[in-house]
Amino acid sequence: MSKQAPLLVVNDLGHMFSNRGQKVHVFEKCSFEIAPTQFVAVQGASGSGKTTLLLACGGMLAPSSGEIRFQGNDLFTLPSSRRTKIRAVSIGYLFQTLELVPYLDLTANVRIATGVSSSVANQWLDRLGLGDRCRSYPRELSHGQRQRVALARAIAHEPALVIADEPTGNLDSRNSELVFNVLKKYAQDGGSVLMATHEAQPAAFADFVINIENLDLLKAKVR
Amino acid sequence: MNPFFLALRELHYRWKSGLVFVLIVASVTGTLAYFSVNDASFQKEIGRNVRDLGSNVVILPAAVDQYSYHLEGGYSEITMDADLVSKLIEYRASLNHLIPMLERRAMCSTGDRQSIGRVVGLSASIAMPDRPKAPMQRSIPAGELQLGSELARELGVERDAKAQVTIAGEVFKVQRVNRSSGTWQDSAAFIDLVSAQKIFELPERVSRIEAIECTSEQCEASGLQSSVILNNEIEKITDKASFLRKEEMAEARLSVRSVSRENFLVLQNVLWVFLGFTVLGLAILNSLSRKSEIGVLQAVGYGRYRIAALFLVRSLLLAGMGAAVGVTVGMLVSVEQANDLFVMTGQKSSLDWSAAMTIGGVAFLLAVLGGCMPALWAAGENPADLIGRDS
Ligand SMILES: Nc1ncnc2c1ncn2[C@@H]1O[C@H](COP(=O)(O)OP(=O)(O)OP(=O)(O)O)[C@@H](O)[C@H]1O
Ligand SMILES: [Mg+2]
Repeated sequence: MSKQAPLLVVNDLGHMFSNRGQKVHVFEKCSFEIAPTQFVAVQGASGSGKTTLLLACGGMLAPSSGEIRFQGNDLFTLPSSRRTKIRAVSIGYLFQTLELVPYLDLTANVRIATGVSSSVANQWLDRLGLGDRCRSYPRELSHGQRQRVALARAIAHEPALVIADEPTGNLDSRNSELVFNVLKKYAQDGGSVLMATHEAQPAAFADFVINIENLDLLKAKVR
Repeated sequence: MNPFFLALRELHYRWKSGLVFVLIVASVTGTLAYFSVNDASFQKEIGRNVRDLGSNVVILPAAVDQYSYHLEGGYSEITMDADLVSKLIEYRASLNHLIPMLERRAMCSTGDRQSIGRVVGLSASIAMPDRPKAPMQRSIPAGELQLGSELARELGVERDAKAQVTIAGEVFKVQRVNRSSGTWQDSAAFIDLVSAQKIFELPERVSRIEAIECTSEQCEASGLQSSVILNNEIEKITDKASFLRKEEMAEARLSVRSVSRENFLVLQNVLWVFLGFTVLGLAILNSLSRKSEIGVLQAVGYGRYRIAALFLVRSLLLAGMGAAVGVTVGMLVSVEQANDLFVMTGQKSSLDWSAAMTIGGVAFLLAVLGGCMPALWAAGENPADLIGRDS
């Protein structure tokens, strides 16, 4: 464990969806910590709860049990305006579904992150291999290109924690490597990264791997 | 990035749905404006048309037996005090355009021919204070006379020819020969009231008072029938007169007025409700179809009020444009139509600016509500509950 105070502390976390009287227990008793500069991977089969865990850690989804402390604050007992502020400044989130804003060009899509200037936005797009597409709109891009725009938006405001939900899902090996390197470098420079992945060997690049189907975690099951 | 910039980009991107919003708001506000700005002229025009149907109330001396009155073709020699007119006015009876008349059958003669005619003395119609004043009957100058077409034929007086008619020794200059009206008036000669009172030696006396009833508001307020209201009023003023109501004409008048007014009110209310629902509905639809976007904006740190502001700017711009276009076009068309519609009153366009402003203002307010509420509500949810939930 790092000697620095942890950035994110997940304690006994559990989540259950209930729809039309049917309850889906996604995971239970999940606990871990992330310190600054750590790169953490979350692994598990499709439907095992990776996205659910990441959303909870990003302050986007209130878990049914347990607590998430971010920079010392219990995220879900804070008023929602404080949570919004934390998301604005200290968290960058790359959605599995990307969620780019259709009516903004790439630069503007990156700029909706807090306090990002056009030149910073374009620098990030450039680093991710989209330097010549800044004026394009999301609909004009391939899925893999959009993925990199979403990453730029998640990282450009230099948050303490970048959460990336399968950022390389549709990328060729060259671009996957580009993305991994960007995230790796970001962690080395002082940020923390929490990433869900389908990669076979996440231990190759991650400081540690959370296998959501193993450890103390229960598989998703329908009761 | 500021909400205004985002709203403009969104409008630019989804300009078709924006255009639909503007067109719907414009057509509803336009229709409302079209009817509202000329409402006053419209009511005046109907009032005038209905008035020109003629008098529908006749006040007769109490002693007149209505059976013989009608048997004689609406004629009786019994008279009453002329000051009843001032009493009716003093009391503000539900009447307007009062015309006192004194009538006798009398010999009318030109140089070579003579014939009995109904000689009617009348004054200009007297308007009730605070009611529409445009005279229904103009006064006939003393010493002049208007001839009914049939009587003129009997007397051999040509239209447009200069002629004189002598009645009871008094000489009258023919002012004009009236066009045939198809009633007893074709066998009548009209002179001014005071001259008639003099030649028939009946000073300060009248045979009847014709008038138009103005009872529609009281009927509505009290639920009583028009004839009951008039009867009550006249009973309070005098016991020397009774009244006769030309039922069909009076009813037609009442119903034309109320139908035109009520029709318009219904139409107006329907349009208001329609406007409310469309503006609200379109704004709500827009926010519902942008749930994911609201989720993303929350995820990157946009607070509730900034997100609401984004939707508000959109609705304000669109509703503002729609209302402005609608009110302008509605008013222009209304002004244009006024010339053709308001023939009798010749009202060009008495635009009701306050109505136009109210319509624009309400459309605006509804847009504010419709634009803000769903977005405020959506922005209160957690982002994960919004993303991928566009409907
Ligand atoms: N809104 C929801 N309502 C009900 N069940 C849900 C909801 N969202 C997710 N689930 C269920 O929760 C479980 C975990 O879903 P999650 O999206 O976290 O999986 P995942 O590990 O990210 O899968 P993948 O690798 O395919 O992205 C799944 O069984 C899914 O069906
Ligand atoms: Mg997932």
